[in-house]
Amino acid sequence: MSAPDKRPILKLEKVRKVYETKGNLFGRGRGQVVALDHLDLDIHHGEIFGLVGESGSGKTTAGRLILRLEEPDGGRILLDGQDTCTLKGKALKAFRKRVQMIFQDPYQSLNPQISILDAVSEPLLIHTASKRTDRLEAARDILGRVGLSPPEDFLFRFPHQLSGGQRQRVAIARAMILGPDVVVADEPTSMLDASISAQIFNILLELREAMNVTLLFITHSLAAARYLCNRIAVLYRGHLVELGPADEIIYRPAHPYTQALIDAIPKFGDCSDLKRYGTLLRVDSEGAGSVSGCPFLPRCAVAQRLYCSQKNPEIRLFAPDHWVACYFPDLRKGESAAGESCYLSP
Amino acid sequence: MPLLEVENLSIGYHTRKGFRRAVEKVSFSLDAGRSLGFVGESGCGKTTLGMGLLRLLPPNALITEGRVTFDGTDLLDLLEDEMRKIRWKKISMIFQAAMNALNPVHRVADQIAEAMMAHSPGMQKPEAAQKVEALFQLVGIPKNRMRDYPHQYSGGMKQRAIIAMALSCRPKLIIADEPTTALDVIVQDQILEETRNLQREFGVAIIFISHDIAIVADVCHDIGIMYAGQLVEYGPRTEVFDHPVHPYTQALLASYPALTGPRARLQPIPGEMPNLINPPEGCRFCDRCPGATAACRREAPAWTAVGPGHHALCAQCR
Amino acid sequence: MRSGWSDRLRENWVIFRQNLLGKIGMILLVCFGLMAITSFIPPLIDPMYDPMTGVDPEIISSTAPSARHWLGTDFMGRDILSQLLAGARVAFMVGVSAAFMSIFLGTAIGMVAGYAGRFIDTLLMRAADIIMVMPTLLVVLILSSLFGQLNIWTIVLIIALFRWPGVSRVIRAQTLSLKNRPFIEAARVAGASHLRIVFRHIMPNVLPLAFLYMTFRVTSAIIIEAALAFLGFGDPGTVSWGMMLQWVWKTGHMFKAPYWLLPPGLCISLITLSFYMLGRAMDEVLDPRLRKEGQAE
Repeated sequence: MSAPDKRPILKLEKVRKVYETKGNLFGRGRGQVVALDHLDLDIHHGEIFGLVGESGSGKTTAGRLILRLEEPDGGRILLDGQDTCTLKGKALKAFRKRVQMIFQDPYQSLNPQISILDAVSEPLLIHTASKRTDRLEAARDILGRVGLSPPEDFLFRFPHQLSGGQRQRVAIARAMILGPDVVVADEPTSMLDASISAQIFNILLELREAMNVTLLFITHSLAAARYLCNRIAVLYRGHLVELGPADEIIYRPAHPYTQALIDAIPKFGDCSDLKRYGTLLRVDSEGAGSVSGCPFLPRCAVAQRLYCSQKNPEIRLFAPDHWVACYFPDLRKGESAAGESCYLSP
Repeated sequence: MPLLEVENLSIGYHTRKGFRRAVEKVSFSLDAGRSLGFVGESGCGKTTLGMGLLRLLPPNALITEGRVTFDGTDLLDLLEDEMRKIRWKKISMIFQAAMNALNPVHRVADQIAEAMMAHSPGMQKPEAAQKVEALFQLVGIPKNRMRDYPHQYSGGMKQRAIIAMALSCRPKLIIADEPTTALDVIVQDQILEETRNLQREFGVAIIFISHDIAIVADVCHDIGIMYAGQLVEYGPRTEVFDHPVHPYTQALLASYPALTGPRARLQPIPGEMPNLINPPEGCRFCDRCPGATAACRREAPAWTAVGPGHHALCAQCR
Repeated sequence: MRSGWSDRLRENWVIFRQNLLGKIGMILLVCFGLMAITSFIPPLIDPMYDPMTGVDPEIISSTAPSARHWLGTDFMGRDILSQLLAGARVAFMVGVSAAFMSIFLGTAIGMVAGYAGRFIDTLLMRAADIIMVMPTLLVVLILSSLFGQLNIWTIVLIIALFRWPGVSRVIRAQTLSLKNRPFIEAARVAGASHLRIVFRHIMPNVLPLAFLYMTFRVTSAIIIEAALAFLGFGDPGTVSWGMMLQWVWKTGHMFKAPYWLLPPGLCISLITLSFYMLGRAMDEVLDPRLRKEGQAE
């Protein structure tokens, strides 16, 4: 993989998004859900950046805010230094050329009444004054690049005639046809089988090489993030808890939540180079987090109430390029001698 | 004697385009207290197999051949009435997205109690309530949540409630179809751990159906890999994962990104699953198999032993 | 160039064909269609067969069916069969035009309301509510008593103007559900304008539903026209089944001439039934969940 340079192409500054939950008839249950809480992220030019989290972490919301599908309630999002949240009209349309999205559900992200050719060439139709033949050529080209060969077989078909994997390739083609700067892939393989997912991953890697696009890969799978990404950010309930190079996060996780995630991933085969951290408390885990203090406090086995309940830990540099938001990072180190038991009891 | 013995089970669906042979000559056996996992991708027939064992197939499905012997009784011979008695009391099932099957207008504990009373004539409400309480404790739902409605439960808790329901009549076998698919990783891990514990405590046999190899590896003693309606490899967990023999198993294992270890390039499997309305005569995987020979295309491969308790459906595997 | 349209049309036709209601409906409609087409023939054979002005020199009152007049004659000696055929023509014209217009209006308004949301949505839907509760028949009666006898096309227009709310509600609901689907978001992300999204993405997906509702609208349009004619508020220059019933009644032949009374009444019932059956069959085609087992795959 070519080494990405360190210029941030996309910058999130203290981005905040809150959803109001409407109460029922009696007004019960009304409240606010903080989807993203002062999120700071720098995404470098040309890298594949992984945004990892479980449901409720805010990862999908972050993607949608970047795409301007929704507006943030606070903070700024900068593309190449330009604030994207204030864009309107022509400037917004120009922005759309530069940032694109691959959606999660291949069965819903293509209009069932529109042919593949029309779907893929629509961005060209919207943004360029191109001739029909040019659009046909461009569509043929991009379909070939995503592995739908020969393109003629697919151009005039409709989505329901294609399999899930093929549909997702069409979605990728559509996102890439204008040569955007940034592509946000929101769980592009979670609805696909493993062997098809593998194809999609490889296509994303190839296209990134060929077109030098920056990829934001949103996923719940650390393993997939590790395979694809240069850097990984871990989100928990709208907070960034850890950020660093992929292998650092996997092999030397510092935040107790990241460690708990790694523990929880079902593993097969040789696990001798993984440690067991035991940082998760066995509580009714899905209760709300604490109002102040660290969001992970109710479930954290490493926490010390005195410190951790006072203030939400800020993200600090823990090791070169490795940032953690924790007062007691990396307290649990497992033994990692190859071949020996890789589990550490708390 | 094994608790469940399946011989040459074949199931198909009548569709507008023809008769789709969704499950083809599947044979396996399961001892009491053991767990068996079926892994495969969409269309491989694993869900059909699970539903077929309980005879819960849709009207256009047909069991064309085979024998399913459970605790000495041939299930396929039974009348629907008798089958109903076996369902839930002796064999219970956890369907895909079962947590959405909870009735939103009844309290969770009440639904489970009702199910129990329906299957044990003579059981009264107080007795049922007591049993439900014990079950909830077993699956890890706090007592103070018993009187809640399903929408107040989180995903993980709903799934635990479903597991409690499946266990409520103390069945000998549970068939679980993708029970953790909709759950987050951490919750999934907890549920799987509890499943292992429950299995040990009750000695209940489990058939676990999933598309995720890793989950199955975590929970089951034995694994069966399914492809295009056929069982292509079968054996103890360690055998199948450490020494996969069938090319599909090998390819499947190679298409999962590994959390650790060298970052090898994933090898997706080229091609597509064959059409099950007119399946090929020879091996169903040979179009996508790197080691296919002319013989593979002509003749159906034989079920070959390749290790202790380990079989594969391949002519080349030796 | 392979087209998905022909594939899907063929697929839908197969499902449609298997539906008993649809078959019966189609057959009936074809019969009525033939009636409408052949309605031009009788006057060409002999001017006495003209539905409005045809007068048999030998007959000046209502007579029973005979060799010359297969269904008999009305009180003026006009041939009932040719009146029936002409009535089929009017039923189709009125039914289809009124339905088409109300669908057109209802779809446009429904899509705009559903997509725009908030203020525009509220405004349009309140207007729909107000119009929906107004009794169409009554309004036409009032208008015609104010302005005298109404032209058939005016009647069609009024029916259309009062019947769009029902359609618009359904289309609006459909639009709302489509609005948040990923492929619409994908169009937004691609930079599509609102206009483009509504006409290129939403409209093709609501049109099948709109066509379905058209079949239901046809039945109500036909019945309204028949009712108006029967009550004496129809277009006196057009021969429709409702008009025929009015003549039977007005001239006191209701119980004396069943050959005159029954055909138009039966036709009104059957044509409405057939459109309804067609609509039900189309419903099954459009909604995969309603299909019988073994059909879907």
